[in-house]
Amino acid sequence: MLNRVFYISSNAIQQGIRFPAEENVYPAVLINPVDTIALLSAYRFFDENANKPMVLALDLQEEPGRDALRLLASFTFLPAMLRMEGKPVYCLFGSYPEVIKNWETQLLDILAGQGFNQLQIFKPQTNFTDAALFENTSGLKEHYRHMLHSSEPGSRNIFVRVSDLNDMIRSIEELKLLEKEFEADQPDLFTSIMCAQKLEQELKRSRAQIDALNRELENQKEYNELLRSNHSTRELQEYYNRQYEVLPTWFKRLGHIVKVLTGKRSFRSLYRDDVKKYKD
Amino acid sequence: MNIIWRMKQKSISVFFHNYYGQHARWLAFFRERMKSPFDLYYNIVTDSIYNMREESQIFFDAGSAMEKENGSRVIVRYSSNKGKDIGGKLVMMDTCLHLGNEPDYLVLMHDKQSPHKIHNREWQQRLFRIMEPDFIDRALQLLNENPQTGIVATEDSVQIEVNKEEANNCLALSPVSRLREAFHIKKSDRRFVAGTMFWARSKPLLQFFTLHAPLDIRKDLEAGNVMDEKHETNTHAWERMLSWIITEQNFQLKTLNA
Repeated sequence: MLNRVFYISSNAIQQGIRFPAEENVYPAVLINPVDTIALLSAYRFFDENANKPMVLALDLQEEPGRDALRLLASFTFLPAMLRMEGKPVYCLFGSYPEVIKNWETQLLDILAGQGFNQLQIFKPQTNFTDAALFENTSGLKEHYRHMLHSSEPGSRNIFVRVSDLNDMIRSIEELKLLEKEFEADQPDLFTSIMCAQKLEQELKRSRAQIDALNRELENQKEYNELLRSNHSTRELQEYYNRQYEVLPTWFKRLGHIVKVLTGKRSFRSLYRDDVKKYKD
Repeated sequence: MNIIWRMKQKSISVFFHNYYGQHARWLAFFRERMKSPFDLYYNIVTDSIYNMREESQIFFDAGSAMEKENGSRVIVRYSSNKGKDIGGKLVMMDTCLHLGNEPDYLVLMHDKQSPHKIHNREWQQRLFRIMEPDFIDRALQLLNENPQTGIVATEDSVQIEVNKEEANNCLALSPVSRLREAFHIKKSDRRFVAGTMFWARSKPLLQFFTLHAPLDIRKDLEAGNVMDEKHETNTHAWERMLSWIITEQNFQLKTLNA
């Protein structure tokens, strides 16, 4: 699909999701996070469907609780959690903007503590263009047709509530059909959008790779520094400094005379540099 | 006969933390070494340059094959690089608790490389001996026959943590001492398994982490490439704590020469 479409269902787990094979289409499981039993069963559902990207949509009606926040942090490690540019995706709903704001703040805080400094949070609303929300599939078809013929036909995020998962399958077929019509109508534009999206993805992947490479380069520099500082020649030099270099000069000179007396150094080498100092 | 054998068999979970990729190789390694059914918890650091490729299919295929083979499971997690392998092991402990799994024994492992150490290869080989067939048999025998055995590690991986406050006559508490105090570790035995690769009875660990949420602990671990060469870290303090949690509950640390 040219746009990302999220199908939100509160009874997705009970009904059993038929995961769409279509690219850019994701089921979103709607949960009231205060209901920890429902949240835990959603966690296990995500765990069992590890290779199928899904979104956790939160229905926020009450103030955040510690247990719920903890469990939400655990969701972030699940492979089934959708990530956009490496950022875990959460979708927030609720009747009270203040409650949503509190949840968002605390969610960002608890996940930053787990090393996830960036999240992709959507707060879909019916009047939003960047995260448009549809209360059912009936109005979506007409909106999608308009969107395809607007100045920005692709790369948008659309959220649709579905009560029955069969609605989702039907709706996907309808949207696919609209895109096919659009492709037949404007093949060059369609191909260009597809190419642009692919290139954008590659660019984001490359950026992530560069970041990771830079981090690794820093790590390797640190390893090298440590290896050099622990090198065995350094140990020898330190031993020499501690054992010999600290002695007074007169003592070192006396030592050389002792060497001559014991036959370990030639007498002439004491006052001439061009003669052999030590026997082989 | 087979049913009786399965009933007698203890359940094993392997916690494996991966930073350096090569997943197909590691999956094959565990499948080859573990002769009885086991759960493989596999934590992948996703922001590591070695884990940039999308390889979820490998896990799906290996998981299906292992389940068919003997009922073994692969449970994958994606994590940030926080607290190195200790952070990863805490993520896996959190997973184990949320899934309601209660294995009898745990094997803690990671793809250790220590590139900053001159003898890193030898150190790595020594630690991986806990997955040698002969070591596995002897470790299981020890854990099965002696209910007080809490940890089984290789002989040369066990070190003794010096009480730095006592040694240096220092009043400021080190991260290790702070944790010992906070989590009521009273026993004077300061032996721990360096490198955090060992076999363990899971009961004391599960009991501890049911009381103290693993992710709350992980929150305080350092991010990125944590090393303790220059100063002490929470991450390395928890390396010691993972052994002491078990010994504090009156379980013994046993070693085997490998």
